[in-house]
Amino acid sequence: MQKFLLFVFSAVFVFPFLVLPVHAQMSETHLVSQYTQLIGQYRRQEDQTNIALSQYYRLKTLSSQEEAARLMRMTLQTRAELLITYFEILRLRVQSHPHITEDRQKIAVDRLTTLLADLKSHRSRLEIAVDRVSLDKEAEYIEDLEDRLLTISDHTQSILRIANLLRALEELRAAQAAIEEHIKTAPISETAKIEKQRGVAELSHTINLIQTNITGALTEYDEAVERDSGQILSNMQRQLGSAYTSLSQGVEYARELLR
Amino acid sequence: MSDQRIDQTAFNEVEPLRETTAVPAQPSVPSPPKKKNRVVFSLLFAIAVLLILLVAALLVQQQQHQSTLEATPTPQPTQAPSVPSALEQQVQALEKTVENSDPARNDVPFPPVNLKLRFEDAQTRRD
Repeated sequence: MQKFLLFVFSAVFVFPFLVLPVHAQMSETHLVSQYTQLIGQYRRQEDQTNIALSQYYRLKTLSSQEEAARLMRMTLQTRAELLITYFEILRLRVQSHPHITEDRQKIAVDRLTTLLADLKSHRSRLEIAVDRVSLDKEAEYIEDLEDRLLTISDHTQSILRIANLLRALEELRAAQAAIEEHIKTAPISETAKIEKQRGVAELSHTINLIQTNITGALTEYDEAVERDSGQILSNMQRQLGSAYTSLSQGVEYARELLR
Repeated sequence: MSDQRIDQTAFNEVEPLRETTAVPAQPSVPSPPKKKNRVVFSLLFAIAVLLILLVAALLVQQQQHQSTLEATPTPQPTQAPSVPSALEQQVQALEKTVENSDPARNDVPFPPVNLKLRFEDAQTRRD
């Protein structure tokens, strides 16, 4: 009975933690390669469609119209598939990033899920769209969706950038603590010790600076999400850039302190 | 008609100024046997080849000798690759994480697609 309970416990609690991250990583790799492949396919098809369309407007024959519609449908389908793949990658990254807070993660994932549902419906409608009118209707649908597509993409990319910087900051903090401990016990002269402790203080200052920049960027992000603004302010990009520069500087300090 | 001279400008009485004297045939000297020459040439050739081979062999031997005489480099005490400490490894990992967190880097940008692609567009372009 105990063994059975242990099995059930591990199946319910342990298994998902062990298997899901690996699965997520595998599917992300697969999705990224699919994304790259679809970009190439879309480019080829778009070129062919443009040629077919210009031919149709020149000849105005039924066969040229049918050919243009056939190619247009293929291109729109590939475009839909590409957009779906792109947003699937973003959703997967947001879901699996440990440095995005739960509430922000939920908001981002919910928006992505709704958008993906809309894109999938569009893809289904394209399957039955064969004539020029229905194809144009679907093309118009995506045209209307453009702002939303770009906004959600910008927001998600921004939160992922912030989360990546937070991860690096956390690692820098851990390294600083370890270096501080190492200096205390290192067999070096008192003068050298004082010199190194000054370096650690400098590192702490850099860490505070990074934290300030990231907090500022997060505030900008929250505001942009709340306003559902299509523009992530340039101020946020500047803050992220400064945070990254300081992080690189922090790594340099850490390396110096180890010498 | 047969004894008539064809050259009408020459006189019958005119004696030739110089008589062609027949050169007495030289007594035939017995030529030396060609076989002997051939043997001498082949001998000389063989000696030359042998000499070339000998010189080449000497040169090769000398080179080998020189190479064996060259001082062999004293084996340097090989330093074991320093194993980075846990702290160094931590900093190395940090470096990688920071590199990957560059906000300017984006491995999956928004797809470069035409979101305004439709039949009408082509017509407008044409007009």
